[in-house]
Amino acid sequence: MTQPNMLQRVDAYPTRVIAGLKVRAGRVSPFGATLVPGGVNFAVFSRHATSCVLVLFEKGAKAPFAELPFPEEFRVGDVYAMTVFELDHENLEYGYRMDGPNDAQAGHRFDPSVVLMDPYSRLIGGRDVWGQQPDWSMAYQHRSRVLQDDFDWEQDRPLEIPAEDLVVYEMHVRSFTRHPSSNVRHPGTFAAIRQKIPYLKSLGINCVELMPVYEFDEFENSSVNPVTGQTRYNYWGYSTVGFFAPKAGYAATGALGMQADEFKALVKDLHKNGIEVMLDVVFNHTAEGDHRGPTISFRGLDNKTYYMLTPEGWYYNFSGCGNTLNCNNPVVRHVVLDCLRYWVAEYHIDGFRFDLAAILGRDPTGVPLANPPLLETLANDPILGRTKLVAEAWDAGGLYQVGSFPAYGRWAEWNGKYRDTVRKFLKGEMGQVPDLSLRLQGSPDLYYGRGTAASVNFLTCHDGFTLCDLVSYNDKHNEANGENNNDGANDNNSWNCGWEGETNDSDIITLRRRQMKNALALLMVSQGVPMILSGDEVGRTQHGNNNTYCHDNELNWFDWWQVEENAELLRFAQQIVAFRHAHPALRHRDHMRFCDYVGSGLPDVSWHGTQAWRPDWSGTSRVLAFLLDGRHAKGGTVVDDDIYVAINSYWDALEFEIPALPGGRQWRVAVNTGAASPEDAFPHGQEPLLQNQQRCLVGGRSILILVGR
Amino acid sequence: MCLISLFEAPMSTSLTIALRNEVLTATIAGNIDGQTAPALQAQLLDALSPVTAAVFEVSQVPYMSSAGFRMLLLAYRSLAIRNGRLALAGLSEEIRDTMAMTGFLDFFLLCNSLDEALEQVRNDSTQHAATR
Repeated sequence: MTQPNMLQRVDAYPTRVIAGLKVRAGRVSPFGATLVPGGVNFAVFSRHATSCVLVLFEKGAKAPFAELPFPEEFRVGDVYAMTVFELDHENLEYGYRMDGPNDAQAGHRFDPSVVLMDPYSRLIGGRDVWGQQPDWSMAYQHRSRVLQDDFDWEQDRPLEIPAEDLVVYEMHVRSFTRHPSSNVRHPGTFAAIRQKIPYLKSLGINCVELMPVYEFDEFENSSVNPVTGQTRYNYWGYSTVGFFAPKAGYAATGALGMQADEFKALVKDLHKNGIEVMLDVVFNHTAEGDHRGPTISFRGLDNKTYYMLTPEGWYYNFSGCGNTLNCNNPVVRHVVLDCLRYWVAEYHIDGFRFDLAAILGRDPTGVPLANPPLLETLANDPILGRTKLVAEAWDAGGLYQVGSFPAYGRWAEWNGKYRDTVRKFLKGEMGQVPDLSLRLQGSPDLYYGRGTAASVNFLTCHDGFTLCDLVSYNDKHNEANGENNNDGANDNNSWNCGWEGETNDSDIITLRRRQMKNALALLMVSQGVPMILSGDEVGRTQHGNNNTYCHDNELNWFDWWQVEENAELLRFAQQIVAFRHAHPALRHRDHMRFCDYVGSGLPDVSWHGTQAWRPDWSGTSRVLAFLLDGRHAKGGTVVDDDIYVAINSYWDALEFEIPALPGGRQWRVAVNTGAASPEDAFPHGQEPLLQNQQRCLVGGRSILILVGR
Repeated sequence: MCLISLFEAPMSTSLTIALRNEVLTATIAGNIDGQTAPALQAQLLDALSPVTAAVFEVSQVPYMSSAGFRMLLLAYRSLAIRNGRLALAGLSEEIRDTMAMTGFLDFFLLCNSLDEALEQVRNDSTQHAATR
């Protein structure tokens, strides 16, 4: 039975008038400002406040046009809720005043003179255009707005690509297209990324991991570089203002308040092109800093609930950024859960990478928990049921959990050990071979039983050197950051190939390019989930700066001229990514078993050295080779070519004895980083037959990859 | 051709609705934003209910906010569920750019002139809208 004209609801009508506006007691859930029939429903939590006032502004106005105290009967438990009717929600901004004890030692910092941003704001005004000087005379800086969240997704939803099949590309929204060479209509925006989707597809990546896109304040702790006169910003954005709102300054339509639609259009378009979207999320601290920081939202709403506090009422600082979000308080846990559910359901986000995730496993006094409720909740949540969850499994308080992060069968980790070992091996350090073999198999020593995809393998990420700088600098050069080169990591495991920084020496340039190819090749033949840092495929340099968090300039921007200047490296990157996609043998779901369990005559993986079947695990070895049996690909569920990889990080060429293949299959050359382009990588199906099937010379600091078919 | 209604919204936005050979033509002039969109929407949805093809002539719309785009998309949806078609004629370059960036543009047939739009919605009876 159907009924085209549904009966109107009684609660679509107001019951009383406050401050000249028609209102009624609101719905306590969901938190935030929600469009309901006839009006906007406002719901906000505070456990320790004694009263609450809803403050309404016309968009951009300094003074509010109405202040509506919540009548006592509009509060249910610790939630104040009110529906206000007949608002032009498109031109509306709102906030709250909270009254309550102002006793820092007891953990309370209520101040009713301050208008507070709603922590559940789905849209935030005040930083609508990137870098535009805010009106500092405005008392209310980050302004809650109401979002009409009715985007038309058509058939879209998260792609659910098996994690082991991903090739992740870590990028910064603004950096990707801000450079003058980008040739896009609105540089530095979500919309501009859409124009570059063909490039992303040509590279072959199938997941972009976006550095923080939640609303942040680029002016937080900004300063002027005395040498260049340029502003140093909170550029990367690892300091959240609002967890539910996309950064307006990243949208070409931010000035129109349409950042949510613009970002959704980007996600939809990426999905249409087979590319997942992962967000880098920062739940360990907020932009409010310590007791000297600004009061934006949480501090004034309920300081004691939202932050980890010392017994004396000071802020614990496990994040290195002034405060620590109290993630295992049950209320805050719900904020995090609501937030992630919202981004998955409303923005179709495919996965999250949690910044300093070890903090999420600490209790309200900072002690690491054996069974952290937040991590368990996220791992078992129905809406996040197919969402990728990736932890940066350490924090600034010294908790290092790579390999031991509480995983509940769901969590993956940024594998810091992969980065460290492979970097050491690449630069020719001895004693790395046994460890390298573990990293190549998806680090079973760390993740056995959790699957290979628990290991996100990377050599470079936004923190630290770019790939080009990894082979061009022995030491960091962070002077431009204004901290006397004291910031940024010192343990880079980098090697400059004989000269610090830029050079015209063609031998050094050639060696560096080969080293970059070696790095990309190792990454792509490793079991687990490879992640590339944006720009590494074209040799992006930060001139030795390994901590470019504050630079809105060429130190961070992707230089599109390099696509042509470094076409050789880009071609290799495309080929090696395509090679990974073409070969399921590189993408096992479970770890290796070192035996033949399909009756192919070869074990799933076998290890070799310059002599077949005789790997050199000794402390002086710089050589390793391995053979992946194609009949065991993806646990024996599909048939692939056999793959043999010979890795020589010794400086001279070495002859490798190649293991013989059963069944008359022959070895063909897929990749040889020691050969000049385009013979360094052959497209799938065009690999030339190896002349001598028994032995092959592998150049100094080179990698040879053969396929057997 | 018969004139169905003439409507005056706040902020001097105007709507003229006409029916030509079973195609509804709505000529809108003035800004479409949170102030004007709700009344326009009510009028348009009413007018669209008996037809399966429509053209919105918007060359005299200098500005459209998010509410305007949503009004257009809702009109499209109300037609699409009946396998109908909606064309926009005379959309300004700036509005078109914003609609493209925010994902609204793909739903509509875009035409430079009213005549071209009328031609399009008549001929395009099988593709585009019906497939969504």
